[in-house]
Amino acid sequence: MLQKIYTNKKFSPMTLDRMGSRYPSRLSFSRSMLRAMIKGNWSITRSIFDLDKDGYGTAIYEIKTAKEIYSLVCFSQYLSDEERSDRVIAEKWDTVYALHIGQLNKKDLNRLKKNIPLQETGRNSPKELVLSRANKSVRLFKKVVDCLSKGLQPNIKEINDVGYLLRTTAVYGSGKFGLSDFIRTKSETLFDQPFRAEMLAVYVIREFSVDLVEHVAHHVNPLKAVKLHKNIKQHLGIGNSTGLGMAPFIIKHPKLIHKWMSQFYLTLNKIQNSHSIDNEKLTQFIQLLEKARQYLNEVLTTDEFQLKKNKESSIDLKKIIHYSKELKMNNDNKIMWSKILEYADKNLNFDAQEIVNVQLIELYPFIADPLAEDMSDSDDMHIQISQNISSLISYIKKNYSWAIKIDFSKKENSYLFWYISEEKLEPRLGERYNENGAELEQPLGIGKMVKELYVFLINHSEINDYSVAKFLLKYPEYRGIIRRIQTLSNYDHGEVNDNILAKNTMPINMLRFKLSFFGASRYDPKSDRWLRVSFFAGAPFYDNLSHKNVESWGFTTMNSYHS
Amino acid sequence: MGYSFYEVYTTALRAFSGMGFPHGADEDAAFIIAWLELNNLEGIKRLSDSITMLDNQFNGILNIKDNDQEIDLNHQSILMKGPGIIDYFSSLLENREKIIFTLVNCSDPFLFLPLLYKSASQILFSQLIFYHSENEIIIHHIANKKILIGKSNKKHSFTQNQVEIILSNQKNISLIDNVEKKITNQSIQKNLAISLEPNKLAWNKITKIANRIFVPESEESRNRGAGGGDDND
Repeated sequence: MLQKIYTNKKFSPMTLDRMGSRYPSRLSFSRSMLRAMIKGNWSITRSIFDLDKDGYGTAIYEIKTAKEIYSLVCFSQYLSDEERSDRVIAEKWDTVYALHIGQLNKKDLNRLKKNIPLQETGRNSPKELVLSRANKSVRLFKKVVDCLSKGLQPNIKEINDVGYLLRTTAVYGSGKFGLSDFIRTKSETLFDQPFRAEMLAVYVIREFSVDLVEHVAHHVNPLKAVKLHKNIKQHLGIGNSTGLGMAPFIIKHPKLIHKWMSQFYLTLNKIQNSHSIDNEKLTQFIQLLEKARQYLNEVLTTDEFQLKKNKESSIDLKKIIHYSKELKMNNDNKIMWSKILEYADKNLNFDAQEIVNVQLIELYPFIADPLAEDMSDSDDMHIQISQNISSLISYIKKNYSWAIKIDFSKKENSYLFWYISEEKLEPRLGERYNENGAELEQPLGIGKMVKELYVFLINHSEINDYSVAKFLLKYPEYRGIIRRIQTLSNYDHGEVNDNILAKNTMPINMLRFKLSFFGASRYDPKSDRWLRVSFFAGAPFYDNLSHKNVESWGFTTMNSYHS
Repeated sequence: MGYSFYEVYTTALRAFSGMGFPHGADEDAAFIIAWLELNNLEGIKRLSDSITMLDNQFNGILNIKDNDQEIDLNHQSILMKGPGIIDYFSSLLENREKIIFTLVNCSDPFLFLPLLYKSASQILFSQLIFYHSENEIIIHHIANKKILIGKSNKKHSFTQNQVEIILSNQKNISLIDNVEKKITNQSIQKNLAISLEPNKLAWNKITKIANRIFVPESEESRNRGAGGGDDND
């Protein structure tokens, strides 16, 4: 099957700076999960809500689908402020969760009650799809309880400043800690798309976050307490703290990453090459850009780099809004969308270009939505055993020119090394010349590995006519990198086109790339290695979710709920 | 205790890396072990039993000459040599309809099975045959991602530790007298629905080796990692 992406773009979208400029789109997993929920007529019911007056206890939400029932079990417990931490080494959380296949019986509930609060040190079974935990926002949770218990609504500005009541610090799936392997989940459950089960769990955790705050407020003052107003509630997302764990995923699953990117660009290409701009669509497009601009003006971050990016993007969006309005005034119905995208490429920063892309995709659901249902690919990689070495060298020259240009003998180009931490078996970054452990480096520096192979092959011209299979009999140490190069020869966007060992690497760019496909918004970097985001901010809650509003929550702003 | 396929694969991968297998060779070996465990063929136990010949002794180099049809493995592990052997003979299949080769002094030939299963997406038919007793040989018939395992009690000339592998682009008839085990997509899904239960002692041994690749986190990394500096708001 041909895996090439047909794009007329001159740049590679897989450099770190471009990857760190991405925004969620209709193809993002949170969006496609909610669409699947509406399309499949899934229902969510709170079957157990056994919490004490302080909000500690057990709740179960059942998600009924045509095929089967799934249960999200929530355990809430007391946690002192001193114990509350987003760090992966934390051992206790305000709330913990599991998404279970089927209705929970007493035996399974007891098993989960013992294991889920332990998180990584507990055990799950293939009946569980997702394991997660979330802490309360110290800034917002108590404030909202206080307001509601007095019969008042919190100010939407206060909600906007934080964005969530609960913040997940891990959402595990796909075989971790005994959970169902994805090859089973994909084949045997409804969740045949990557991270769909995780997104469902996160969406229901958001439901729980509001039920929890309202429950606690009610018990503080049963006579006066009120529930959250629909509009204020909808502005709440579910928070997420994300660290380096996401970065190695991108390197280890290149075919999957290519698939996500190829579906994105296929959508854009179909739109820009076959659809001219009509007046109605152009009006909608301008409205969407204005909404995104308003979002950028409202979203809060303390990170100076992100603040600058947001500010510049807002200015650049103004430019393209102006340009689009001019086109509208000219009323030329023969203009193609490619004209607007070309203008964006030439005149806007990367972030604003991505906003233009995702807002354009919003206008063509019949193109984007089917592609969003085809975002999975196998991780299998194969060695092309009969290829000869000179042909392999040509592959490398063609696909890895970015890597073979790098001088890895310079310290700054091999400054970092990726390792697995002893404490929680999580990926970490070390400084090769200042820290111990580089001898246990993970094989994630693809550029360096490619360069080493390339230099070896160039210096051994006597083996140019060998088949790869024959070469590997003598040099089995190159199996991994050759398999990768060959497998990805037709996967244009599987590889990060940058050296992730370089001193100036910003790992957060890789996190943002992955988070954009998840559908995260409100990027709030806390260092170059971790950030906070929100999921489902602005999305309708289940009691209000319908065909009409399921798609209207991208770049949500404080004014989005007035209609 | 039960584990997922992902956990068995990841632990095996880390163990191979910890024992000095290079990148790529570690992935192949981990796949072999995890696949056997998934199909109730004691992958982790087999790995545990062969640690002494693997640990810091990786040697995947093979000296096969162009017309060689017999390879003396000298009891070196298939976990090191197997992937190269299968790749090499599969590459010869491009110009022939069928390849038959023999391995002598080959311990634990079961380890070839996952490699042949994986090759089944490119090779129409393969067969792994080895000595079981004076009167019986064990045959593994692999076609279309389906494996039949059984014995044949027809007269044979196999000796102990001798293995024959057939790779073919033609359909072949199974020589198995009684099929004792079938591995199919259905059986694999069935096993995934229940946890994998590797031998406990062997698992503990492998986990300990896997732990070798972990690095104590530095203070710098801790401060700049998730939650660092601002973890409670």
